[in-house]
Amino acid sequence: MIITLASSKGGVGKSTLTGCLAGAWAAGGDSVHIVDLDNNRTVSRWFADTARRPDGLTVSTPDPAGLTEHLAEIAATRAPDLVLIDVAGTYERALTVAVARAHLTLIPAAPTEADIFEASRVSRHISSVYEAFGREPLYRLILNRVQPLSSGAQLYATLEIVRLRLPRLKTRILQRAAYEELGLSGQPPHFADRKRPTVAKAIEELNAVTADIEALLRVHDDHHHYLEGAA
Amino acid sequence: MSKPVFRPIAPLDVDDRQLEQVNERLGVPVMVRPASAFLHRDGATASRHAVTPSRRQQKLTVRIPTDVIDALKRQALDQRTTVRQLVLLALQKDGHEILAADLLPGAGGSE
Repeated sequence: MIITLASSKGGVGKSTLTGCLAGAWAAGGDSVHIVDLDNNRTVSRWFADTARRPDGLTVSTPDPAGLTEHLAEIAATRAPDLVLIDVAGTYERALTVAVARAHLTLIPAAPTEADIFEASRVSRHISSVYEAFGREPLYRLILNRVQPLSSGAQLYATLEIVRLRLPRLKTRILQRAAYEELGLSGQPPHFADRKRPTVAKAIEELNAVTADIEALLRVHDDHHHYLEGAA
Repeated sequence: MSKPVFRPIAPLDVDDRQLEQVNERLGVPVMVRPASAFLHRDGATASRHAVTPSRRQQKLTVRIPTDVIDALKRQALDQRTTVRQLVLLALQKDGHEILAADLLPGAGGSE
């Protein structure tokens, strides 16, 4: 299964979410491979220390122009349960290939005008790419870096997501220290000290997100099998 | 009552050339990436060159022909990189151990 985390802007928490979700699945016993396409090499830098990197988690940093071949190579040599693609936070051509190769694309966005505007743009781009081949894409916006104390602006931004008809995951990711610590510790919340309240809450949230994603993919997979059976 | 017909959701089974045509049609910009030695294709290599806490960096001053300096500056400008990075890449090619962390912008301090 390939999941792309896409955004046409930086600062939406894409790399943080990639690392935290990878940690959540790795903690559950899945083998996870992260393909880091971001020029800043953020997520690969965070997991560079192999002694601290969670078991079952690997990272590669291929040339984005060779993504298709690289994914084939990963499938043939490692066959991970999950591949997470962290794309560069810009509107560029590698984004097209990354969403075309994914079973699901997640668009992280904080409840701000800038993030939702760009999420809407990425959503239109994904739709255009799939429409070009007569297909419907599977993508979801994921509300990220939500402030725990809700404000009027945050509520308005959330209502804008509804108005723009952007499909989104049920679970929201709140702004928490446990997520931001990944960059400094190299350890996603599932591998950090669970006794700390921020870590415990982050784990609970991430588990809810992975459950949302798995349910979504299972539903579509069931439809796929239903069609195969009907054929 | 008939069952609804759903389309299977799966990655697009099209080649990169077809995706490139879509990019052209949609006018998606091409990102120009700087020449970089830390674009490793696999996890093992990436780990070997993984970004580790920066090593101690020291200044080295050498006198080389002005023409070579000019050529290096032009090459750095063309490739949107730095003279320092070009020198380190050449040394890496020659077998010296240059880590990815050494190649990061600002790794050498003020240049």
